[in-house]
Amino acid sequence: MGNSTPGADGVRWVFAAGLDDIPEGTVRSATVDGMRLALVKREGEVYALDAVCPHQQGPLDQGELWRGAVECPWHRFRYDPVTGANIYPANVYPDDAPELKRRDLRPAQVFPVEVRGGKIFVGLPAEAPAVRK
Amino acid sequence: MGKVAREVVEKAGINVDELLKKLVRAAAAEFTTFYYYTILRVNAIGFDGEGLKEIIEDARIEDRNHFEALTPRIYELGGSLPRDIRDFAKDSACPDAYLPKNPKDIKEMLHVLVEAERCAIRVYTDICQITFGKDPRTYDLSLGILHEEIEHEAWFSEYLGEGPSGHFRRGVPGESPYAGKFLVVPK
Repeated sequence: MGNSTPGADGVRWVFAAGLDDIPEGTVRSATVDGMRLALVKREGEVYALDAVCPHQQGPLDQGELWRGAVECPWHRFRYDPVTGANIYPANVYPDDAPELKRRDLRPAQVFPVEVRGGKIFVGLPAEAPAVRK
Repeated sequence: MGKVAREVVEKAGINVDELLKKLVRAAAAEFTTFYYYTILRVNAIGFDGEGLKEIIEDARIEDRNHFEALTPRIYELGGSLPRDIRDFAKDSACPDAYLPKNPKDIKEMLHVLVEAERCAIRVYTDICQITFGKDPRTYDLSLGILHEEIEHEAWFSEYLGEGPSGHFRRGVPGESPYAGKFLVVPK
């Protein structure tokens, strides 16, 4: 995987997987340009997140889609696949502890996705190619 | 470590090192939850809180029992608990169940409790699925704990008005009717 298509918008569109490779309601791993991604299919839409959980670097691509969110298998933190925002434990963390939120609730990085002819393309930054594996 | 105990699990196709990571994280979640539920129980006061206190106490002690039941299995399989408790707590399989900003807001406290139990259900369902048909001892242990976590969720969910739990409360606090057989000193 990883055929790159240059774009005029500062984004490189990189082939990540076939649409049929991601069953509905699942998370699958894909490596594009050396970067591991978690590809998610939810209600027919595909989303792409950095596979590294921002909490403690757990493997989001080995997680599950649970209640509409991507769940990290290590510590069960959950992220909105659309925005990358933490959903759990953000929904139970106390409002008077901003230091906890800063420490634990960083959002997962998300990337734009386009589906063309049954193929999933992920938009990666054109000038800063990902190197993390 | 039980050499053959580990060998048979490996031979059945389980990655024992990965399983051990899951068991240690689960034990950490039980230990930290015991701590946080102690704080929640202390703060469950007033007209609504007093009724909730008893079921927090049951869940709190049963979570401690789960930690005690998991620990021998971790060592049997050749694993160990982290030497530093801070490392242990940091690797908990579930997020910390913090006391809400307003401790008198019982609904908010219930929200914390029910989410913690739902997380635990996810953790033990995962371990059961990995060990089913391959590691009967870890499966049996995880299933016993899963039964209790499911009941805990139902108790708190009932309080939130999500419907009846379908069962009655424990005979004695922290009875552990399903995981109790794994305790060194049975309840």
